[in-house]
Amino acid sequence: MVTPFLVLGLGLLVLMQRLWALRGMRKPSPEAATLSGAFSLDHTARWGQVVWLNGLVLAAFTVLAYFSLSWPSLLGSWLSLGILLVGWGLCWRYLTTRCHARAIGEGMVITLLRLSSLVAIFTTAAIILSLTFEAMAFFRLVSPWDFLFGTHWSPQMALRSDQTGSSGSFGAIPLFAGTLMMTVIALSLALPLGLFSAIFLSQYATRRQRFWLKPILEILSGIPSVVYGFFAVAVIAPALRDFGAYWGLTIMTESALVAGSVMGIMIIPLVSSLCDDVLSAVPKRLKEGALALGATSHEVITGVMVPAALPGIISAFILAFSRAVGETMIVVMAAGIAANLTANPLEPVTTVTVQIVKLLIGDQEFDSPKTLSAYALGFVLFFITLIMNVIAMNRIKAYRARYD
Amino acid sequence: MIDHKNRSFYRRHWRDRVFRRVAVGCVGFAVLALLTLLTSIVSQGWGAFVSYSVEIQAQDIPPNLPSSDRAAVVSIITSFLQIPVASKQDVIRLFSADAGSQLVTWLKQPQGPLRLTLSDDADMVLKHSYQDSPLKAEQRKILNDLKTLGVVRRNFNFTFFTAGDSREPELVGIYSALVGSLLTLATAFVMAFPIGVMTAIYLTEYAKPSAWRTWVEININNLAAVPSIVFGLLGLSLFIQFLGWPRSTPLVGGAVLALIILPTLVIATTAALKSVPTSIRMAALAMGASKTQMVFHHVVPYSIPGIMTGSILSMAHILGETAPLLLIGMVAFIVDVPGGITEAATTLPVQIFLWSESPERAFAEKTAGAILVLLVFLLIMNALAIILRHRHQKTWS
Repeated sequence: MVTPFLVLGLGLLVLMQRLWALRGMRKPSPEAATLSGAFSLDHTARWGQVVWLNGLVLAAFTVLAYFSLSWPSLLGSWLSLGILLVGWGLCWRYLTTRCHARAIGEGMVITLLRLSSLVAIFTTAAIILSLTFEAMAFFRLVSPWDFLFGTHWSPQMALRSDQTGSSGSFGAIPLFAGTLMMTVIALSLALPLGLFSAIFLSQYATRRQRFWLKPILEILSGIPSVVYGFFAVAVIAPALRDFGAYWGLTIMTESALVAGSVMGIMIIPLVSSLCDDVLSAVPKRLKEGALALGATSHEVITGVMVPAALPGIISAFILAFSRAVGETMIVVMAAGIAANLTANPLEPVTTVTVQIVKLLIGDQEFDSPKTLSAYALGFVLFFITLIMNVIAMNRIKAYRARYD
Repeated sequence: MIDHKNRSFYRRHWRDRVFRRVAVGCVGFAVLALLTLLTSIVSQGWGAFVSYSVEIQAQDIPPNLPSSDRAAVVSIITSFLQIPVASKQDVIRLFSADAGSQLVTWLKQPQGPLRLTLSDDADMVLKHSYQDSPLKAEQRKILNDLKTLGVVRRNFNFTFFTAGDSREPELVGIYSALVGSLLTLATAFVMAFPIGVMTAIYLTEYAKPSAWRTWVEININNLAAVPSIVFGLLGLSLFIQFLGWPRSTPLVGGAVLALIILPTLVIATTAALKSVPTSIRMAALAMGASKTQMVFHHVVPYSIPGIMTGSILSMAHILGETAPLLLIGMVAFIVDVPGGITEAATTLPVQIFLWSESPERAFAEKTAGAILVLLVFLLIMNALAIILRHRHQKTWS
């Protein structure tokens, strides 16, 4: 009962004493200017501490031993004795005029900063480790060959673990094909529109037009994907269905075209802002040289600017691809659930991300193949986007180095 | 006679004009898409902020009411309209499930008129006059009679801003989802901000160009482009399965979102720190400041507006994040306001997702309404960031 307060009080006393000693040492007395004076100050300060702290330790231990009638408080008293001794030792070690407090402080700050920079690496390591472990657990139940090249995906919903037929089949080809189709639809909309928007913004637009158009594209990129998902379901799907019905086509509300085109709209600002940066980084002298030779602005752009910026533009396209592959909410809301191996964009398909969400939503056990298959899909997704990102980043870096 | 050179001149300039128009058309398409999105959401969502109720004056309420509250509601309406009780179910289905308790509350303290909220079907008929409404012809007639007698009032839907989730569309609200979003964002900020800023300070001010620094930078740039659903998988296996943190809570959600914004924060802070000119650093060092004093007394204070802008923008980014939260179970049906970061909660975008899955037409309206609220919050945050950037923009000369 009393012990914690005593420990706290004594700790505070030690702290105050240390601060007092430091305060005294900030302004050294005149005789401390000489070496011998410094030594004598050092000497007395140290011995003053020893006496002071020894007295404290003895007093504290006497008081604590008096109160320590039961085990926990006896433990507490030993603990407080230990803390006092450690504090005393630290004071003894560091309270000298030769203590480089600033270097120690700097060292501590740098260590702290370095530790926090480790978090990024830990995160990557944790992603790779957790995905690998869970995917390995999955591949012990289902062979990787069946997973990567099987054409039938139906992770059955087993109500009980002992139920027959609870294993399901995990051939992920329909999911990969669905993801690819969705990505191709999205990119065939986003890449040209984004590139031409960037060309307009960086080459044709006046300062005033840029001032208004840039924020509009930023708003478009700041809208959460769940909003785009709702937009796809509530506006685009019925509109496309009616449009298809007018031409005698049956476009299903969950067709790949709906989710893919909305995803394309979402990716336009990403492509346009990346391409805009890249085009703006092309040196002005190239453009002005071409104009001076009498080229029209169309010829300058297609003949000089775009070829010069091509590595950057390609890496922007790769980043857009990796974004489209990993996009989740639009496809969860607007695409189908059933795995369907088809090349018709008017039919519903499902994607890797949809399946991850559908497999893991709600309560589940962590060791069933159904749950683990989501990690295997996540593993594939992570490594595809990782490779894409690394390629894109390297190319952008090389491109920057070219014109810097 | 047109000479060959001249013809090619016209063709080249014609191509130029076409090319330019294509570019304008592409920008126009993006602007049009944004306008379509916003107008469709406003036109679908305005109804969420309006609700209809029936107001009956105290003198019109018959003295002897049945003991059951629902029967009492029916008898009030039938005696007010002076119609025979055709079907109790028809009348009661016009009113919200909450009408009975509204009557009980009013009877305890009869001040002003009695207000009874209408059900979602009646509400939708009054707002849009659908032909294929689930209301029967008799129910529509009762509704019309009430309307002609002038007791149907149009109110601002306070419930939408004060209630939690519900099975009944007319009783749902976004309040508990908003509180959940706030708790999750606060957790994410507290976790990510110090680490992100310290990492950026280390990378720009302390780390020497080395393989280690390149490695950390590659990691950060790559994490910024990893799909957010992968972070959800990480959160599920690391925080919930491995560390055993409580599922569906803002604690886990905040931790996952913190990992998602960490790279963005580092990149924004790095840019802010790099914009402080070298002369400031040199001057501080020349005055005898240590490196840490130089960084924390001079460079960091100058870059605070940039850091704030970056963190507000990254907060706006994770305010709309949904997919990773679905994986860690923040999709629960949350009626009550979460009291802390270790209680089950949901966030605004997840609530939007949940409502969008509901088949009722009234839920589509509430979804769009919640989206409008979300967009308003995002707009406020972005505007704040822009104002901060403009007000504290320093031009170093």
